[in-house]
Amino acid sequence: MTDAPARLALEGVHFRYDAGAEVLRGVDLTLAAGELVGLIGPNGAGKSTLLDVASGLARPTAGRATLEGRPLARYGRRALARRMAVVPQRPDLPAAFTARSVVAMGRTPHQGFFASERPHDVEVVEAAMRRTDALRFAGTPVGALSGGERQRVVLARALAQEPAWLLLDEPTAHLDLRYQADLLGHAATLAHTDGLGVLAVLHDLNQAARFDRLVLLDRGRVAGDGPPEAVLEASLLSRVYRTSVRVLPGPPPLVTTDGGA
Amino acid sequence: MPRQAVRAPDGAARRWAVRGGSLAALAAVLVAAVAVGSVPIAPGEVLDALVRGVRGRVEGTRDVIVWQVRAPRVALAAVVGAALALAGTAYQAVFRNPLADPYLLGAASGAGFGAAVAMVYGGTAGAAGLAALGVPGAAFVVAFATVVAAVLMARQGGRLPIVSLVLAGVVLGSSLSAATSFVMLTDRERTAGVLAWLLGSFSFAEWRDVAVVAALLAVAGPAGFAARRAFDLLLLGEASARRLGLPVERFVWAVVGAATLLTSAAVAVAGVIGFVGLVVPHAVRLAVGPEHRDLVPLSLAWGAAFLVAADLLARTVIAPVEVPVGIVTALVGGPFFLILLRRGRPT
Repeated sequence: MTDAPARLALEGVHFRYDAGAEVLRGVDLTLAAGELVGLIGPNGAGKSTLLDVASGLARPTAGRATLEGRPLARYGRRALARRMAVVPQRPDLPAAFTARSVVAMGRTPHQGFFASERPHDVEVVEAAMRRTDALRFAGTPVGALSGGERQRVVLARALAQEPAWLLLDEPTAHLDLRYQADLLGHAATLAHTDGLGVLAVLHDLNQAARFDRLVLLDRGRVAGDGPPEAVLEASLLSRVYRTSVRVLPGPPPLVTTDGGA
Repeated sequence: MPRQAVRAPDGAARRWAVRGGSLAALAAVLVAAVAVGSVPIAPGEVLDALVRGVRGRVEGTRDVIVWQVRAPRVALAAVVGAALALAGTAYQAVFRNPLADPYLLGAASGAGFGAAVAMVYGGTAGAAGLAALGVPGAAFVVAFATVVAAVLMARQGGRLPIVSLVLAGVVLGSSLSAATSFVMLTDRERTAGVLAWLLGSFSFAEWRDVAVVAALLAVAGPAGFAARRAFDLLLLGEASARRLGLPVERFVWAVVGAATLLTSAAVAVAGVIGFVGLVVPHAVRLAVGPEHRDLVPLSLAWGAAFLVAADLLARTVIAPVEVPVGIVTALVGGPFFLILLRRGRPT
């Protein structure tokens, strides 16, 4: 590695879609290597847009977005895909592709235009699938897989990119309890053991409570940034989510609304 | 334990069988198409004559029939079929639309209009420039210009929104088809000639035409295979394709440019032959699935085989009269494809 700072940094980022209102209004956010950061906030706060900016898909209308000291806009698509992988919220997978073929797509940014799959690619694909426990259905068309299995295939595809940075957009949204726990376990291991910088958009604040750090987004601005016990605070959450929120003493804290248990 | 399952997950043996079988089928169709005609020639003699010709010796009537009459015609049908099937495969991937075919952006209507004007108004001052190109030249130029116009109209800044591009192409195509009909009606004596051209024919095939399309195909074929992973990525949607390293915009520009060149050249030398570019990629997909490592090369092979077989039918069913090959591709190819569709799983 060079002495470039090992972090993903957004500084004063603004973003608006073509003629629409501003979705991001001056966001500062950093993600360091080895860190597991959760991005939370009510619907429409700009979480998915922030992920688009952080993954180079949307360019800030003002402000700076840099990865390892270099503006995201200066990365080519391939170069960026070798550093960063994204697990989308609802992956759109071609049903007739086998799970293995989908995971192998993660190798594309490492492969030459004409080159065929090298033994190293095969090893990386296999290791990624073993890691997410997707090897058993390697030969199955993804159209025949359950939601949890598909999510493991997509996570394996991201790992096959061998990224240093991993962004997840509500990765647990369509999963049952066991797969939710699995996926969050993977995310934590990837950050703490493998040293990846992991940023995940989360809806479930009780899942968020287990993260290293949380960034709370409110109408395009950062309303809170710090350890879970600082951000998951009843008056702050009540204000941002515009509903009465209670935080039961932890650790870890348990968040509920008055309507809940 | 599951190592083997990872390396050969989807019936590698079956894939190789399909690949080998496709090549054999193509070779058989090519030889049969040269052998069959008003003077039948045995397949063995066809091969002998071809070998002699390659060595520079064309001896006797049969060699002349093979080399100057049948082979150029069969070769032209093969390269045009391959070119249309390749362009169709590329467009179906890029536009993520199973109804996409090489004519989606107006190339066919442009070619038809160019050819009609050259044929009908060739003698007048207004169309002299177009007519000087000859009918194929006029067809090529207007076909290419039509797609360029569609791109220019759809472009927004440096971006090329796919929906706008398709709409611009479809609308331009409809307008040009109407204009072609009008041109035909202004000179009823030449209507039949224009219509025959529009429906496609290989009866005036020359080696020069073969060389033009083959040269384009020699570049586009390998490029299409090289782009197999990019085509696969596009099936994930634009956002995911970008995040997996594909510069989607640049790739779409390149594909539209290359496919337009191929399609315009194919239409210029053979007329507007429908169905090949639409149906062949689907038929191949039903056989080997949607991955482009097989879809691209097998579409080339089956595009060639399908159009050679269609032309063989076109010149033999009611010989000595020829049916326009575009009618055969639609009449025979349509039901054949529907049977495939019923048997296989939908794509």
